[in-house]
Amino acid sequence: MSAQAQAAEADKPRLQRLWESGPAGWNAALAKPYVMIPFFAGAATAPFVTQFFVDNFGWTGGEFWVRILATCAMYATLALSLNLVVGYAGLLNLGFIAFFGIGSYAYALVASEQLHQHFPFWLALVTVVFVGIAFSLIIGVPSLRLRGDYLAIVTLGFGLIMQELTLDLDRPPTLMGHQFGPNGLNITGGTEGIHQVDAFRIPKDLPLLGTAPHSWVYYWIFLGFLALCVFLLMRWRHTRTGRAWIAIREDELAARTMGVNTFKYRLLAFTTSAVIAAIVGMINAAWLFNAYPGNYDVQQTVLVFIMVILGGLGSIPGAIIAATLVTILPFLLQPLILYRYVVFSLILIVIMIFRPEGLLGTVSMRPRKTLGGTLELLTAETAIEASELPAVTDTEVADLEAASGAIVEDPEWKA
Amino acid sequence: MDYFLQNFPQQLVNGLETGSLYALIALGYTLVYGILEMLNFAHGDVYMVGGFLGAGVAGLFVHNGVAAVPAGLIVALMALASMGGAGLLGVGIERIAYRPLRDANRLAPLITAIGVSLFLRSIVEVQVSPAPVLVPSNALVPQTVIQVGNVTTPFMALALFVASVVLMLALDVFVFRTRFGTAMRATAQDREAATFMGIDVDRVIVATFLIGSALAGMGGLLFGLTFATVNFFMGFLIGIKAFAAAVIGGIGNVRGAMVGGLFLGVLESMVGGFISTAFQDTFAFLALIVVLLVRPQGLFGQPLPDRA
Amino acid sequence: MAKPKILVLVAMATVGLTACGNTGGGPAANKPDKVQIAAEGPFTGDEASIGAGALQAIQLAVKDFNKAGGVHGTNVKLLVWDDNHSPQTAATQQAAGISDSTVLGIVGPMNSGVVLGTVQGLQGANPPLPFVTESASNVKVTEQGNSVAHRVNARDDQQGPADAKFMIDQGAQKVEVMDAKSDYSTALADIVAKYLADHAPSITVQRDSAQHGQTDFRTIVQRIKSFKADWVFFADEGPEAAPFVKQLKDAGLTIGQNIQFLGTDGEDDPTIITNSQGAFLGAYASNITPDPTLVATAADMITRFKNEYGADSIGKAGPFYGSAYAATQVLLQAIANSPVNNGKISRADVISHLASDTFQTVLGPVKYDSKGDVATVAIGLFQAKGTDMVAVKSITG
Repeated sequence: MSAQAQAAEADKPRLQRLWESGPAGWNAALAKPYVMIPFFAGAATAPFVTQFFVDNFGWTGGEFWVRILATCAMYATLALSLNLVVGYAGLLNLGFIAFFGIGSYAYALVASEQLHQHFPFWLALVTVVFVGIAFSLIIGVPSLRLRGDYLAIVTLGFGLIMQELTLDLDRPPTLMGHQFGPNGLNITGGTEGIHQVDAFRIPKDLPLLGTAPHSWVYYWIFLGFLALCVFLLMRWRHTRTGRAWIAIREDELAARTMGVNTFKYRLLAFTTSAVIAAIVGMINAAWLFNAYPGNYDVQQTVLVFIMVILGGLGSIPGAIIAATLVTILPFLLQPLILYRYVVFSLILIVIMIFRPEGLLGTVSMRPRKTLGGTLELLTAETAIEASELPAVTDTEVADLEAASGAIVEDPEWKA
Repeated sequence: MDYFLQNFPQQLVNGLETGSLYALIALGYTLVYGILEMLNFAHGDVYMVGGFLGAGVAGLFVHNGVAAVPAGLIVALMALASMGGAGLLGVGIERIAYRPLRDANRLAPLITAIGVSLFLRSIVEVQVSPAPVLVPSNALVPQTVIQVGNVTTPFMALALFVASVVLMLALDVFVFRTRFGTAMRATAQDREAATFMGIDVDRVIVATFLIGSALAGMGGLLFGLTFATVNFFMGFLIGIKAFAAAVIGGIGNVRGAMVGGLFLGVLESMVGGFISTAFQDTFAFLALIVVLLVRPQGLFGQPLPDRA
Repeated sequence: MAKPKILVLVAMATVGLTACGNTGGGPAANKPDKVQIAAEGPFTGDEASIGAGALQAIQLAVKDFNKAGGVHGTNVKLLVWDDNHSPQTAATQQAAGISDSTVLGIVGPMNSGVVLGTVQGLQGANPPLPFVTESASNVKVTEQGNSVAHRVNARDDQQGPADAKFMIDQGAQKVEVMDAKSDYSTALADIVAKYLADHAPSITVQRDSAQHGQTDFRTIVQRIKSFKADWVFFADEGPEAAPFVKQLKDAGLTIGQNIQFLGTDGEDDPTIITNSQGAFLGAYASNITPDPTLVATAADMITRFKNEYGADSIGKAGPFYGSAYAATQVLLQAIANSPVNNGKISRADVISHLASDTFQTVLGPVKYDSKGDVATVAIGLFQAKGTDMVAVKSITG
């Protein structure tokens, strides 16, 4: 933009500029710390607000709504995790919810009577992370070399296999008429799942957590973990890994040409997403005292997909908002419960056709009019980042061009 | 070993019959993938809708197990409804949900397809029936059981196999011996070059969806007549298996889809019959994963260029 | 004479006082402000075939109870919690009721898996929320020492041995035991297999599983054929039975002629006869709750049910409509028997009345033992004949 246009731009009130910058701008604004921190702080006070209404107005929905908020926080974290693997690394992980289940079961196995183990919290956490990494490597290492479409079907198959295994491993497997394993071998509890899972042991003398009701504590744990993930992901975006992910997502061939080890970064995204989902599963199992096989089917994965697309690929605030909407709406609109999947799948289709960026997305999935072309590859998001970099002056441009013979980005080219 | 030898022929026949159904559906997957390089996740649910359309027509003419008009006529009408309805559904889905995203990021049509699949499933569940719906096959098709040696097969299962093979051969002839088939193969090979050659790519794509979906609809009808039941979730699992079959045979390759389907059906039958019925699906998917790792292009496919 | 006069005065005063007080029966005199109970079960989704009819029965029971005066004149409000067979959904639905002290009990949950997954929350609530289930049969439901747990149906360890003994008495030699990979069917099939192994070692058992929603059974059918089974036991609560028996017939195994079939509650369903196009005829099914059409005291209820929901509604009401009605009666009577303090009834009182009182239901009297089970429940055996499931006899293990 010319100097005149830039000056005119600066004259507009801040809010108007924000509004005009479109979803990418909103996303960047919402993802700033001065928005995120108050948001999480405010969200943490929600149980007190509900308690206030319960105490003073005789409202009976307090516990119910804390539970729903906890479920929202849980799905928001799952949406973030799927966003990481689909939005940043461009991998279609259709067996995603299997990792949630793996985390639940891993925790349930080490914190219940199933295997007579009762690990303390930190040891259980380490176990769950380890198991999550292990499974994601088992699936990821062979399949990430495949094309994206094949990865979709392999992960889908993996999800189904895990489901079948959890249902069947409550007895020693009988293959070809021979029993493999001792009598009474019961690993996953089969169709009943694993009951009476220990909750996290929180010392009673902790100021707030020790004495608060069960659902409050878990709401805060989910919320805290969500905040942690948001923080990590936002930091990560500005590191080498984050840029590599964006490069791979936009044009894998170009990224490889630039020397990015796509396999390593895809595996990293895949594994990180799996571990996040596994930890969420662990918290869920502790919250509900159960690991139950019925929760981990493909419809759940599709539901999380809907959240990610609705919120917008690559958008952290978008994922949180969409997860909250998708979780709360069926409870607000009771008749919706029956039609829940009809409505949400329609929303998904409509969004994909008319506005693939979702609410706050920054990944452009629209058809590209040109083939290749470096400028088109810049998403609006990176354009905003680019505009925040210190401008290059004309003399510096000329010096660099003279020195290297390369074409350096002209400051006037910023879109 | 005796057990194996005794039961092998029957389980083989079972597997071939199941596999022919997989092959029929796999054809739709492979045709679409060949041309658009897209996984049409909604394909299995188009099969399901085809089955329901056939069941619906049957319900109109058969009351309390008695056919009001000659059975042959009813079956013909059912076939018309299934194939036609499914075909139109497939074309409609392409036009509304996939065409706008044709040149977009690879993920976009995949995600849309997932949405369409869930939509079809849930709308049938909620609006038609969450419980299985009866297809009065006793009144419509012969119930004789054919026996050769100690291998038995109900007439309809054999008919399913024969019908699938005939349809697949017809498709093979169409794709390899007709002008339009050549146009389809050209579009599959290189879409832009095909436009330069004067091929109406849009028409080819619509025809591909029409044919693939009609085949799936026919599969749904045959399934309903063989097992006397249709339900809203029957498309999902068979869709995944058919896709696995297409991949094993070499995605994009019509003959590969046929072989892949039969192979997967027989594999499942062998696993279920001789290893364990509880782990049938697990082994089927493990087979898929192994094939993908060892020979990603499938049995008949060409090594695929590693395009981004 | 003075004394008789005083007596008469006292008598009149007493009559006067009592007339001013009570409007109905029960120990306490005042009217509760608000009374709610919840019906919980898989009312939609893949198990709607057992849930929908049960919900109709519960709604009818509440309506009848309110018509007869409700709880001391207050109508009972029924909340409907559709848990879709998922403990996670159930826990969220229950949370709404747990914190509302006017919700005094749950009729349901119907699925054993859902009960086992949520009972900890119900027992640990403040105050604990009691439930009376009409169909959860897993043994653990009442074996964990929870004061909130009650059921009106028989348990797996009553049904399983009864089923197995029936097969033994019928001369079974080779039994194929199948389940449908669900929390209900797997446990029951395991019990049957174990009973057969313990009590009739000469019988050989082959164990198989069907997938939930499976329609192609030919592999299993071939295994049954080559095993030369003479009995098939299939624990199932859903629609798998109809295609399965049809494929048995296609393979040459006709029920009643060269093979026998024993199913469980989900198969005590006349629609299976239609859906299998007759292949199901001759099959047996056992039910953990008595069939209301065979119980004299339930005749009235059946008439009202048909008036309310249509002449053919009984056939579509699934296997648990009778026990659902009875369970509702138990809960409502326990509530009505509990004292009213300042317009409120406490859950603790409801629990103690559930434990101690005898209740009159359409299926007979109900009195709980210390665990929350009914002392004697007959396992009904039915056979598919014509277009109906016809009662054969009661069986025990």
